Amino acid sequence: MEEPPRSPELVGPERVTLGPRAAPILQRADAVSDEIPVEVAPYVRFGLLDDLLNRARANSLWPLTFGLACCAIEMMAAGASRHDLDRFGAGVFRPSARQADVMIFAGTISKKMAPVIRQLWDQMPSPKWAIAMGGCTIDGGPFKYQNQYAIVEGADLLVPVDVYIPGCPPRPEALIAGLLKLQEKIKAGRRFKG
Amino acid sequence: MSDEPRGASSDPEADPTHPEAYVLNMGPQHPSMHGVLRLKLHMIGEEIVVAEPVIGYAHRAHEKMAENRNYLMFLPNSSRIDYLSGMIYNIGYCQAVEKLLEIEVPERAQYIRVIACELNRIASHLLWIGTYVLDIGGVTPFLYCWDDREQILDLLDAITGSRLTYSYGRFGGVTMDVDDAFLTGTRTFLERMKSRLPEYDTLVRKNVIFIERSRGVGIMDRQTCRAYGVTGPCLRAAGVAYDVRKSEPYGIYDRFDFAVPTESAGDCLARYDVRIREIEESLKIVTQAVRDLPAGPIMPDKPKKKFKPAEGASYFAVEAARGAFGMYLVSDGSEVPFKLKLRTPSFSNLSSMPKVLAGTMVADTIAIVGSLDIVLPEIDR
Amino acid sequence: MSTPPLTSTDAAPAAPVDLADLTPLAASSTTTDPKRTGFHHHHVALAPSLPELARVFTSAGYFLEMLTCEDRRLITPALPKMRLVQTWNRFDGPADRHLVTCELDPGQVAPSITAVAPAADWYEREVFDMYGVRFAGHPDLRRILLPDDSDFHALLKDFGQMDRGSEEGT
Repeated sequence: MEEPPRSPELVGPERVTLGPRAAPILQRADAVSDEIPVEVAPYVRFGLLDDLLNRARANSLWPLTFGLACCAIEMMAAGASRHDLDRFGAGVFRPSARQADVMIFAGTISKKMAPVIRQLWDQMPSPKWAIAMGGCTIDGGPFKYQNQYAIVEGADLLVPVDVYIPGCPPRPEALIAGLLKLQEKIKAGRRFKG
Repeated sequence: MSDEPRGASSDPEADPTHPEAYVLNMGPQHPSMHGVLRLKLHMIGEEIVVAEPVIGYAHRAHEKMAENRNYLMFLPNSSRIDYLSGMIYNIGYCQAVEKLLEIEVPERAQYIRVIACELNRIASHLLWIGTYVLDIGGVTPFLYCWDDREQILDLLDAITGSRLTYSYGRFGGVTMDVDDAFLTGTRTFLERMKSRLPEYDTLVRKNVIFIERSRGVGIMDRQTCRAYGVTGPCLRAAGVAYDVRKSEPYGIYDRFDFAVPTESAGDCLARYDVRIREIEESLKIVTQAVRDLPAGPIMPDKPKKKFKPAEGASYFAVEAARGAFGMYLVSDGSEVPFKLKLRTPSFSNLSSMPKVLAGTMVADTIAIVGSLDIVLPEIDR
Repeated sequence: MSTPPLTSTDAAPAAPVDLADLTPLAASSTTTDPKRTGFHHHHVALAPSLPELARVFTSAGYFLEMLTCEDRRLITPALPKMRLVQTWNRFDGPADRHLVTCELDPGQVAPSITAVAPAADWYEREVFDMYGVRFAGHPDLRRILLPDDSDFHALLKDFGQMDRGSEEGT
């Protein structure tokens, strides 16, 4: 197999045949490639593809149809007539964990429910993201008190959480803001810049 | 503990040890389970032999919390028991404590409470219609219902600051007064809703698929309802005109002119009809309350600061959107309730499912369980 | 499908339950002011008569509204008691709520009324779950709300209490 190009100028946009819609990404990749040392240059190509994929992922988040308590109603409200989550590409609620890539924890996580949630999370294919919606999923919220026996105090005790949305319950607008935050995070990819 | 199948069916044909019997698990994560209900269905072919609801996946220890904090501190919990008719629960808890402490509520606050509770009941029924029709296959009514429901939430949001989990009641009144904008908005909503009901009639009630999926399905007769303590629209759909607002009027419900709608069939369609007519009755109540709303204070002149009821037990019931919600409150003379038992309607309503589901087809399960209008955190408390 | 063993037909509206049927079964019966307590009658019963009491109520067309328990062991430490609480009400006419209480010794097994009132099935399971009170004759007495492998009964007063009474307690 031929040795991949080692010189930075060869990874420029003119080498990749993509449509005009990729131009802004390519410009960004261009800016990125300037910072990358010569010896790791071949990986920039994968970075480009990742960027594209992340954009696609961010703009078509498929949440799992999964409500736990009060917040689930606001989650439904976000998907219903007035707030219309479809505007952000996240309105396709999937009934099966196998088809979903974002889990919105909407409500209190009881100790009886916790193993089920973990199982659902494990069933979701990677890459996957988690949104903790409401006080209960952040730290137990109103149901947290000394010596409580019933609930798991926060979704992050079960799965890694990407975005926390405070509120009891958060308004649909807050959920949308949280989703946009998650989109930003996904688009930024693994390279945390700036 | 044993994991043996169980249920109310005693039909000799319906034998869960039948060689072809198998178990179908639904939930606790299921798109149509309205939360975290789990159903273990013992089936032969398509027929349910024994249905076993498994609950507790949303247990949040409300009753333990009540024993761990004073009367006022439990107030935010009340609307989180059943967050779809949270206002009724919140005001109901206030009324239970007021009864225990013999606190007088000013007239204006009483009327505001009725307006808020009935608007909340309409919102709850609208949500049920939307999700129920969604469950059995119609997407469009969901969007219609949610549109109307948002109008109510806007109104309640304006006076309570919350869309769902209200802490609007206080022992002795309500937190905030209503203004002209709210009253005008309410009148506009009443007009709008009256014109929407015929639309629902054409969109949902005249739809052949909806009728075929709900008529004659999941019949609960009067006797079943009584045996399991089923209340609310499910009971009224079986022809029993039991409504706490009529049988033991609380607040000022005895001043309003409204009917208790009943149907006789006791099936899913009857439960739909009852809820639609209850929306009409609630509209009537709100109309009267807005018309008669007196001026005056919304809290007593000298509100109590300490809430220390005398020793003893009391029971207070209100008609929530899902049925009779009762609070059994025991005081030991301290500032903290000794015991607060929440008698939630969906708990009893769902307990009838082993009997009602036995012998039905699996395809009807969602139609039947959905028609009860259950809220799981209310069942599990 | 099975039908619960009810002796009355449900067609006729129920008249108030005949107190004369109840008094022989209860250790004491008092009439209370519903405006203050929410109950119309209060019966104190002994455990063995609970199923028979339930039968009288269901025969008169009443339904089991609620069944719960109170942990009163710390109220009277010299004579520790668990108290079973039932309320019965009717669908027709004005409310007529009967409160039935029954004192149990800790560890005492109460008779189940599930055979008479199917509504008691889940309520008795809940009482067992939350208080550890056992019911003889219950078809399937196991936990209902807490996970099956729990090792505590949540509403017992000596479990999971935080400092009582003060605002600082949160």
